[in-house]
Amino acid sequence: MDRLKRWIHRKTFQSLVIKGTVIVLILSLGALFGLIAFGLVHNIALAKMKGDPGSSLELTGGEQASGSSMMEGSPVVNLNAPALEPNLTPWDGVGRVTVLMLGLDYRDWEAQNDYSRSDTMILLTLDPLSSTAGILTIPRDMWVGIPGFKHGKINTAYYLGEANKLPGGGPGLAIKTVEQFLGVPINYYAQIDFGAFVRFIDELGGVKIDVPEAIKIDLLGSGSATKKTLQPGVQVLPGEWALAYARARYTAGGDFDRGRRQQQVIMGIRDRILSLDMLPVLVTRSNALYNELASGIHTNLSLEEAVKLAVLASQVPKENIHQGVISEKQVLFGTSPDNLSILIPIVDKIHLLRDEVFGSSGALGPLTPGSSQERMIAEGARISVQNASHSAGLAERTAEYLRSLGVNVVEVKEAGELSTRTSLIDHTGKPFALNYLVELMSAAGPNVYASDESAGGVDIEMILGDDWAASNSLP
Amino acid sequence: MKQIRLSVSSLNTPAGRRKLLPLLAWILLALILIGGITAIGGLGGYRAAQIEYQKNAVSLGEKTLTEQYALAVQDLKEERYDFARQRFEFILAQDPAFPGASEGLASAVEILYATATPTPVPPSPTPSSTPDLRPVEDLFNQVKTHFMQGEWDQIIEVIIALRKADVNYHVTEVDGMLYRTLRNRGIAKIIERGDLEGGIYDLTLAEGFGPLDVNALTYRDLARYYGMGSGFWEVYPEQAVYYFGLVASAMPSLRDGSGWTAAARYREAIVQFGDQLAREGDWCRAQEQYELALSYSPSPELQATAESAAYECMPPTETAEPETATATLTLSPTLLPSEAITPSPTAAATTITPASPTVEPTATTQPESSPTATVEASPTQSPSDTPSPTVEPGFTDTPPVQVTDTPAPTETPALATEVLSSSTPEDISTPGTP
Repeated sequence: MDRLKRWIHRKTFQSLVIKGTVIVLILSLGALFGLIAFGLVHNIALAKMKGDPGSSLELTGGEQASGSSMMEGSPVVNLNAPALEPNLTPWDGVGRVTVLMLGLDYRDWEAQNDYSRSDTMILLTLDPLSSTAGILTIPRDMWVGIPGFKHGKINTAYYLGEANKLPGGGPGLAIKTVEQFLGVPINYYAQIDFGAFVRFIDELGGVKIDVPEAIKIDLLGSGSATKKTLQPGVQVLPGEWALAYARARYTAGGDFDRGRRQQQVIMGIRDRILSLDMLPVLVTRSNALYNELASGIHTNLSLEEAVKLAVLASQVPKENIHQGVISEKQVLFGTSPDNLSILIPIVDKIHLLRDEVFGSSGALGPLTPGSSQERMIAEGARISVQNASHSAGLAERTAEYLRSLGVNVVEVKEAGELSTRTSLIDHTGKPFALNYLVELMSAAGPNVYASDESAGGVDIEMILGDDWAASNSLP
Repeated sequence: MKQIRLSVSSLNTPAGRRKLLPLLAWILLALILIGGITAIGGLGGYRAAQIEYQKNAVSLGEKTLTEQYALAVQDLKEERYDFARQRFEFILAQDPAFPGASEGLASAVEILYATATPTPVPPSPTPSSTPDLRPVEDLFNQVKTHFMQGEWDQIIEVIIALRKADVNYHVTEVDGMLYRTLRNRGIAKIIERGDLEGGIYDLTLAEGFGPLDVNALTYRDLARYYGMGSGFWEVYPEQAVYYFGLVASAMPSLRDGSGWTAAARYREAIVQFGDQLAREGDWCRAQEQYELALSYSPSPELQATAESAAYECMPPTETAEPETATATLTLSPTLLPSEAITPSPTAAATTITPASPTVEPTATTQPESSPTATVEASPTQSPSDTPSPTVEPGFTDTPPVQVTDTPAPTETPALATEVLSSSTPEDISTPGTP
């Protein structure tokens, strides 16, 4: 009996030891897996939080302000700390969107300077409604007012923003300067490093360029091996060569030629993507590509916005892309007080070029269809015709003529006082009627006035002066 | 193995199955335990990452704000008030309770606006890219409401939303409102916000709908002249004097984005021109410029410079002339039509002919070429382009402007001195630019 008890006791003890050992083993294994899971999830989650490709790529204040070279492509850190980033109006998704592309100065990069100047400034604008786009290059030596600083060359704005650690940093001040110079609002910026540019072109399998004349280029790096000559003709340039071609400035046209070459490369990239139908592939690969290039692209565009813009841009026909380079036609050559070569803007000519590139169509342009007369009729402006000339009956004759053209004349009377000049007073904002009447009365060259005061149910008062009496061609 | 084989072989028997149950229970328990601990580890890792990230973010944020605060205080000390303002605004946007930031902003703004006399820029509405899904009719009514209240920025935002929702909705009426809005915003940008180029651009967009009125054209011309003068700033002071003289004579308080007024630019350009003449050894004309600048705003330093120039102009060893024209400080920026800068549409030339729109005493007006100028200036206006700020009474839909009569094409532009003499001292003060 005792023997049996001892046997049972021993068996129970053995069983407990085995069970205990198994439990300890299981717990140890669990702890091991738990630790591994902890470490893995911690690292992955932290990395994802820091470099979420869905968020905009920004150098945050602390990192950017440290003064390390922007060209080296330091890893993107995007903690939710307040970034020294430009405070820009985001694109509304339907109106015109404009991006300032910035390329930094190779010499600053090569010299490992703390802060760099912008060597390239290109405005890309796209109007989805009218399906038009524009590219405008601003030469780096343009003499402009830099907000908060003395006048200087436009390429120093980026440097000053960086060096003074302004809110918005280099891109912020560069954008403000360009906005103040051209008057157009800018929604985004993209500063692309050389490495990212080369990598992107290589991803496309090169870019096809028609080189108009032999040109000496200098590949990145030093030594004679980097000096190359591109022969005239159509050729597909790999990334490094395309970059060197876009950077070359030792041709007769200097910086202006360089601006044109840069636009040629941009159009080459567009053509390459469209001709090889690469956009779907790029969009599919966008996340990976974005991550890969992230360190070399500094922008406030999110990946989603960038893809959306790329798709929209691909839908703009080539003939609707207006290209412009601010060149010798729009500037005077001069010397700054510190003896640097500068370009003095000829404001009116720059306005003309800007308006060619940006146009006045789109969401902020007239959308009423039809000819000038059809628009006027559609507007239905109520016109009061008043005679202020010495010619009796002029108002009646003019009103009759206008009615025959479809103008909605609601009142005909004598004006309160005589006038030699014909005037149009717009009370409610009727541009198409004004436009039509001004064209119609071009011989008299009427003055147009705007008034917010009510004119008793009348939209436009037409006050006929002696000039109309003398120059009209009424039947 | 034998046992396992036995167990496997005994699976068909109820006894064998009973024996296997504990084993299966153990395996299940092991899996649950290991899985549970692993999941807890994973969750813990995620939470730890979150905490670390937030800690880093807060730390970096604090570091950035503290750094910006220190820089802002430094800017205040060194009279870079505009930078200080930007930095304080940035800090307050991130942390409205940041100690000392509100006070700093207040003092920066106070000094900045006291010296630069800019109209404080109204806060722009927070842009929102969130699509507005309200019915189109609502949007249209909103446009009307904003229109009546003169909220131009908001109107444009709502119109874009409206056109996004339905591009053809009341298209002609919307075009009309957009025309007026762009026109009014353009003028507001020019005369209230110091955004001269932005104003010009808005007016150009408005012109895409229909002709601009006389007031809008006048303001646009003034902004254009300001821009032209700005292009010559510190480079060709003579040209800068001419253009800023045109603007200052019509609207001395017109300012640019940096807070400078046209009057201040005009005065400073005169000084720069005087400096240029002094460098060329033309002391007498330099003195005239200095005296002219002093007549707008006294300055001990400039007074000393003027006296020095006067000494060089008429050294004691020479017989002094009894009187110079500078004695009469009723100076005017005389511009003879023939001297006006002639347009050169091709502008490919690399030489500027110094047009001589010099600010000269009327008694001694003699257009002279500046020897340093080697390029043909091609600002594209003729005398007839002189701004003609004729604001008709009764059409005061825009804020009042200090204007003069429209000069006839052959007339001398209105005298800056005449207008400026009645302007407040703030009109010609300059901001503390770094």
